[in-house]
Amino acid sequence: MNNELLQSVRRRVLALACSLVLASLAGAGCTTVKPWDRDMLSRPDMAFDSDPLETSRRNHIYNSKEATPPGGAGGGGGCGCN
Amino acid sequence: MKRTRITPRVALLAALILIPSLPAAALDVGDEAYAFEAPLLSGESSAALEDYRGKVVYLDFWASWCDPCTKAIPALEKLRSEFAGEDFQVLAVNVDKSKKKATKFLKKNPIGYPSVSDPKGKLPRRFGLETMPTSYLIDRDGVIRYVHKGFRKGDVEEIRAEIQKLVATQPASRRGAK
Amino acid sequence: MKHRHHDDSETKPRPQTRPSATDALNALTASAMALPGLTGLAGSASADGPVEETTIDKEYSYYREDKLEPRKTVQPNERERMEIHSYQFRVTTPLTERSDLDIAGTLETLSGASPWFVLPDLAGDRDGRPVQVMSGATIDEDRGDLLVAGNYFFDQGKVSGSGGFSIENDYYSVNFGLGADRSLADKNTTLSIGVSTSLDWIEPTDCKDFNRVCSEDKQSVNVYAGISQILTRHSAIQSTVSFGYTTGFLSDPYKLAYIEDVGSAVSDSRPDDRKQFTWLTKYRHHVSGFNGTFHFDYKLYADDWEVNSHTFDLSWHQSLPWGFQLVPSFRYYSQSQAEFFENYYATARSDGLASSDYRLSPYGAITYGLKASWAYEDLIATSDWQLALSYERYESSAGKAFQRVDVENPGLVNFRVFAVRATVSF
Repeated sequence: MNNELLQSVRRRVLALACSLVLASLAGAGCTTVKPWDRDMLSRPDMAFDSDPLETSRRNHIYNSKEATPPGGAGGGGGCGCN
Repeated sequence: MKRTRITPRVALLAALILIPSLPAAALDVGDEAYAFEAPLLSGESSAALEDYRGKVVYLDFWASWCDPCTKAIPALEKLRSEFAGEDFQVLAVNVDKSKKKATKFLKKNPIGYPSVSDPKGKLPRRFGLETMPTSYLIDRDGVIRYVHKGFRKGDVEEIRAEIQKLVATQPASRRGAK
Repeated sequence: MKHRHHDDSETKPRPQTRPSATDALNALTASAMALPGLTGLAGSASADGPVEETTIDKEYSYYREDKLEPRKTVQPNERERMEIHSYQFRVTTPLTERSDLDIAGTLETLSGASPWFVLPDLAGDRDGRPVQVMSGATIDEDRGDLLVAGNYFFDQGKVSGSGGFSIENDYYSVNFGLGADRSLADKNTTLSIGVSTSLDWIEPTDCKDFNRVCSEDKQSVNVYAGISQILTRHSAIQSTVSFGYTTGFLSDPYKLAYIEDVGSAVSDSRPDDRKQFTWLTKYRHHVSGFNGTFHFDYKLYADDWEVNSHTFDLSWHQSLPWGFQLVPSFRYYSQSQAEFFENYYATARSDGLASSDYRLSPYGAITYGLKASWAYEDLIATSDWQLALSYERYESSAGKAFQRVDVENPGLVNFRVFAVRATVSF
């Protein structure tokens, strides 16, 4: 009985920790999306830069007219293929 | 005595944590391929891996949203026709959640081999797929002899060589009765 | 924070006969090309492998700033601002089975006038608010840039390299960048790092006539590190921090700042270097019930000139039948002022710094945008076409800033951008 209680408490603590981590948007490893489940993630509109030409046009304009540089780069997300 | 109540939410989150920690039973060279039966994409009937016992089978997992997968299909169709009449069979498993997209792709790129449909992803999970696409070369006794992960243009050569090797071997004297 | 001592140009304000429509800061941001070079690399549609087809994009865009409001100027015939016709192209093509190439170029024509300096309400007919003096007559300037980038893909990541240059009649710049991505085993998490550098030279037009510097340069380097994480089957997040350092001539040679007690304007004079920090987070969420995707980006920026800014970018990507897509977008931006900025100075600063450039002033801005596109997938041949039309409207004011702003810089700009693009893949 004690073991059962311990297990359920531990699971509950883990679940809480996981939801906190997810909430703080750093949920690595809590829910893994499998390679065959990436249909939506592979959509072009789900890319972090879905329109590079538009991004570069906007960055150029805003960089000329405001004080802030574009920032940010890098990959990730998407199909995960190969 | 205080009882910890496992609410559905806690149970779900706990399950989500526990599932990834379960050992991923990734089938590899030397393992027996999981003898599945699944409905065909065309919906007419089903296909079972067992049906092809005695033949060399190239099992290919694909999806319409996966670019390398769709690049592989015309190449596999070519391989199929190359090895036609040599006890060689290509079998595809499509994991599209929407069969419509898969069927639309095959209309534009017709294949001479069957493709089963597994929208729930039971088969890739059973095989322990680590990337899309992945294909398995299965010998006449149902044992995996070669695993090909991903697909790039030049891969056809390697795959052809592996098929060649396996097609040349004879099946074990026993019949694959289960 | 070092500062530059140079002769106060004691130039009495007068309309220029041949001003340059090119803002040095406008051109200085060619250093930003080093960054777009690396953000542009993310444009391989599948971030895990080279592009499988050759895609050519061609776009024409028209940028037009609103005329300066009459209450913001004392030159009723000098209210026109800037207008830019821009032609962009981009080609992405596979090279080998593990690599691809990305080439992007722009050719644009700028014309119009830009802010020169700000005066207090000397005549007393502007409610005590400062007024903007513009640079005068319209001329045509051309600008061109090119960026070449290559990606090499491994099974669990990629490396990228880029190089580019930018040329205008008074400004030249070259940039280089390197980046690497590495995915963890389950390919749900990807780490990215990169570095880029930019070298710029400026040779202001009519430097002798207007007592400007004649030849200056600056160098910048930027490093970034980022992480992206797939959250669920339909959502993903990416967060990147970058640090930039720029040194050299950072002032705008075409601008002046007015000093009241002397009754004349001095050259825009900014520190010799600048340290910048940017933190950009992007969130993507697909709603399958609506067949649409939500984008939310937040950027936090701070530098050692004491400029801080927040940028919020929201857009909704609505897929419609027959290959149509509609993307409404909204952007909110708010920045604080540079420490040494003033609309005009009561007396000269002891460190010699001076700038009345609206781009270093405190203000906020809102952009509304709408893009409509149509994609056609050819069933028989193997080429795909796409057409897109977009419109954006940008409005800035001191009132839109997060913080309270006492006096708005009269040079704040509003503009419209129309763009039309054609894309072909084969």
